[in-house]
Amino acid sequence: MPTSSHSRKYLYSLLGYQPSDDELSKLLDSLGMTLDNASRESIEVEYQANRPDLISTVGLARSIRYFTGKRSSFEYKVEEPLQGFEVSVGRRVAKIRPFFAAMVVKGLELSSDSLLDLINFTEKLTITYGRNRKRVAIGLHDLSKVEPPLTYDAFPDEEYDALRSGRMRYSEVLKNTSKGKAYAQLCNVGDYYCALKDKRGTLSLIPVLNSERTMVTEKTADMLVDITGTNSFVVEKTADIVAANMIDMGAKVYKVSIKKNGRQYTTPSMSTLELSVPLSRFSYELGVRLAFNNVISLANKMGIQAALVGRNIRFTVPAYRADIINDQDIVEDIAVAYGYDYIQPIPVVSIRQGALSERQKTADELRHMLNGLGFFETMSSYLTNEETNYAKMRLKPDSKQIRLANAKAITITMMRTWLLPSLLLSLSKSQHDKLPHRLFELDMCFYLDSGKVKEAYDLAGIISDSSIDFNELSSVVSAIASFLGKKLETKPFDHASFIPGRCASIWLDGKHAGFYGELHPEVLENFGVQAPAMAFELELF
Amino acid sequence: MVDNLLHKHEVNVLKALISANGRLSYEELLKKSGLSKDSLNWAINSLKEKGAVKVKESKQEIVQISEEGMAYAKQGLPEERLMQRLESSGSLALGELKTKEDQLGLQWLKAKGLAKLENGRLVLAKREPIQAGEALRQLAKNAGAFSELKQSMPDAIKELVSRHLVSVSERREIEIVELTEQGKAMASQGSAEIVQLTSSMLKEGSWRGKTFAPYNLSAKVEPASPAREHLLRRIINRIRLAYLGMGFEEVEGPIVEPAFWVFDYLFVPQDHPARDVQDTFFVESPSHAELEEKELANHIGRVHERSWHLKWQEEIASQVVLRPHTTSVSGRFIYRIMHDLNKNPNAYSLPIKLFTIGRVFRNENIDYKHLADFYQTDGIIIGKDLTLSELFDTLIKLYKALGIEVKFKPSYFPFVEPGVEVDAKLGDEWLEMGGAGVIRREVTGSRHKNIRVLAWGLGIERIALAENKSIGSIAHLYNPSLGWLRKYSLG
Repeated sequence: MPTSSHSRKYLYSLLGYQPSDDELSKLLDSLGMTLDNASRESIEVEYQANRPDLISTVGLARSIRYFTGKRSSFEYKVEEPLQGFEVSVGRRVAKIRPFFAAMVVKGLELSSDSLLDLINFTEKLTITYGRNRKRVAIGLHDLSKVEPPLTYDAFPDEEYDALRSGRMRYSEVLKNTSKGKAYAQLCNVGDYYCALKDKRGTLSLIPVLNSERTMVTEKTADMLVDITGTNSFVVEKTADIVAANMIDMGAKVYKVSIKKNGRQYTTPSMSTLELSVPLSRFSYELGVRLAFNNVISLANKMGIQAALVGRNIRFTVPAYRADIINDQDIVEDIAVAYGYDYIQPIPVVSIRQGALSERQKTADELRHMLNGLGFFETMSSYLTNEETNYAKMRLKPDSKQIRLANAKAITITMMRTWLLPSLLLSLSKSQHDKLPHRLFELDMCFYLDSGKVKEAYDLAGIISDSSIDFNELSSVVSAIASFLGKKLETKPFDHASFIPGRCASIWLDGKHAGFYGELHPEVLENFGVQAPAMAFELELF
Repeated sequence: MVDNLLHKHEVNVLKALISANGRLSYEELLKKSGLSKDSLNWAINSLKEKGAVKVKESKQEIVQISEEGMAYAKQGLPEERLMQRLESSGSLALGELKTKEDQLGLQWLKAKGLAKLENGRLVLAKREPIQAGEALRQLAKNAGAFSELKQSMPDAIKELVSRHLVSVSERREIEIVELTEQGKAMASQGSAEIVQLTSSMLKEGSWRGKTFAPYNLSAKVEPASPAREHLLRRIINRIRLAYLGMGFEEVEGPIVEPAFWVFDYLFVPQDHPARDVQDTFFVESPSHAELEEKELANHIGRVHERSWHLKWQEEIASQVVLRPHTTSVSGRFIYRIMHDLNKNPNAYSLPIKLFTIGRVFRNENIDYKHLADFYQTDGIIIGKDLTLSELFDTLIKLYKALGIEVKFKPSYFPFVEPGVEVDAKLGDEWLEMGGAGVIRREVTGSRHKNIRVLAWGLGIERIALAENKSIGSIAHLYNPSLGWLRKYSLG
């Protein structure tokens, strides 16, 4: 879960009281959040990734106030656009970053805490919900420094006063600043760069770096907020969340009129979602009897307005709730408000008998048998590399391997095709342990079988001792065959991992199933094994 | 005289020593006495306690290089490789040092004072060979060089050990055994009592009328180590039995899957961070797999576009990945069963309860503490009028069978609503075990409103930790050495 940090002082002032950490932790748990890392000045809160409205301290305080019944107003009013304030969106952003929203905010009384919260919120939201600014990015500007008209488009390279970086060309910002390098590919389209400009020049190289001119400080009372991105819904919802936060901070939010492709629209829309759900659903989906007035007050605890209309309850979902898609999400909100702790466990009535998988049952019995023969089971990684799987076993890589495209660890390149290398790795880590060493593994191997992925269960065992008796290994193989109820035949076999003349293939009921033999001293050397060893491996199913 | 009674093996050792003028190397003694190593070791120790022999032991240090260490010995330490790059390019911007390997190199270069930051760029501070790297390569070539290297490069060796690239352990071996005066006296006395009862004595009855030399009943021996279930297997099997007892049926499903079953079918949007190459293993060959259920894929695509406001691409859904969770197995069964139920609501007698346990994969940097593959269990119940109440009851009982207390809180997973986090009590703390919930309609595609699916996905290693406090760390569960396996066979 993502986390965001909150100043205690600011949170308490928004809540209007000072809950103890215990109390706060319980509240957050009930809401599906977790209190983490509490320090003297601040707390960290884990929130669910689908709730970007809970990133800011303002949003967090809002949800707690609804939940504890301290807030009962559901209104989030945005004002009509101001005269002469318009943004036009050009055509050149259509392919790279087409969606745009903006708002004007007036009458903010910022403190260092609330400004910090606002900045943390925009940063965090654009990283998480915004997928590192790709889906959505937010720009904040001091409105008093902005001169309409404004244009959002991709422009040719030019100079501007980049925030805290001096005058630079767009191309230089992308090349030479850390933000520029991180987001260059989101901004740059051929020789053009996404930017928001007013009469006096660039306000922001989008989604990279604002201008020094319109920088927001504690003294900023009025703001212009721009929101850009690649997903229309996400841009719309982000604008709604920002607007709700600004309103809760005591400011007035004015819509901005936007012209795009000859069409005109205003943002933020702040449109609520109306959902009608039959009252009876809550009882039979939650296993709890709920009357309509219960459901309505539970919805209110989640900040959702509700009313009884006939046999249905009509919910008005606030615009800032980006996570609610349909009635199922409402059911969850009602369950959360009711409290998971109060939901009574009820047994599932069933007469069905349980059963283990037949294949796993056979595997279980084979494992017990190998234990009985004195072999310890190892449980190794399914992931390996060509060095271990082939080279150390004196084999050449074949085309049957399932290769991985993007492993972070340098020791992982493929899925293991057989088990013996895993057993030899275990042996190599057991060199200080008393002889004899007897290990087995019964688990999965992976290879391509005429182009299709085959996920097979192999059984392999190894015996290493100061001196070994090949007949002992043969008798183990023969015990396995007789357990499986199959006729065993063995034939001399050439396998580079084994000493020539000391390896046989295993045939079960006439099918080639595996091999066994004394391991080649070079293989032992490759794994740092200091005593002779013999081993078998067969594919079970 | 009782104190001086000798076991047959002891007599053998004394005789061998006398025939060699009282002094033999371990290897010679092994040959001359005709004893196995275990018997010989026992006899020597027993004679030593009785003051009959003196023993000279050698100490030997055993050096092992870890897999990571071997890789570095070949390619150079991260800091050496970074230093080479610095030497060739003069300086590097911090932004360019993104990989874990680069970060490691950076840390070590800085720690060793070999590089420094200037205006946000990394530059060389000093040009000198990195001793740890030299030592590692020499060790990789010849582990015998260890004692010499410990003298010549003590700091480098210390560093290699602390970085877990090299591990050192000590082995004591008996070198020479020498007879004492007391031993000589003992050897000449011998014994008339029966030391070992043989089958010929039984056949002939020659044991009658004789006494038996008593055994040293307080001799210290190492406990036997019976081979038995692996500790992790034991926990997996306990969980399987708990499910079985609750009427669940065990099922299995693919590990190498098209992203469709791992993500798309489970309502995870195609731009979700979990699908990033940073988190999920993508397969290079075969990179794509054809989606067999065409109609289903198209339907899921439409649901995604409607719900996530994002163009759904079949190409992304057909990319082959290693499953990051076992919920993909649940998904395949949910699809199959709901498909049948939608055609005929009486196709099965409900509820159906299924579980699976298997490996899952996360693209992580691995070391002895973090693995890229581990175990998970998923379960589903498909039935009529199922609610959170039935889900909670099932999970409480499942954990109770393992002796673990659980609680639930709201959570979010794209494919469930309501979503639940399952926490288990570990000592005084609550540890997150996994997620659960009621599967969304978008996934079940249920045409019968009252047929619902309860589901959960839980980590096995965490159950192991909560169930058996002596494990301590998840890393121990995967310790492959026989020494550990033997130790835990007794636990």
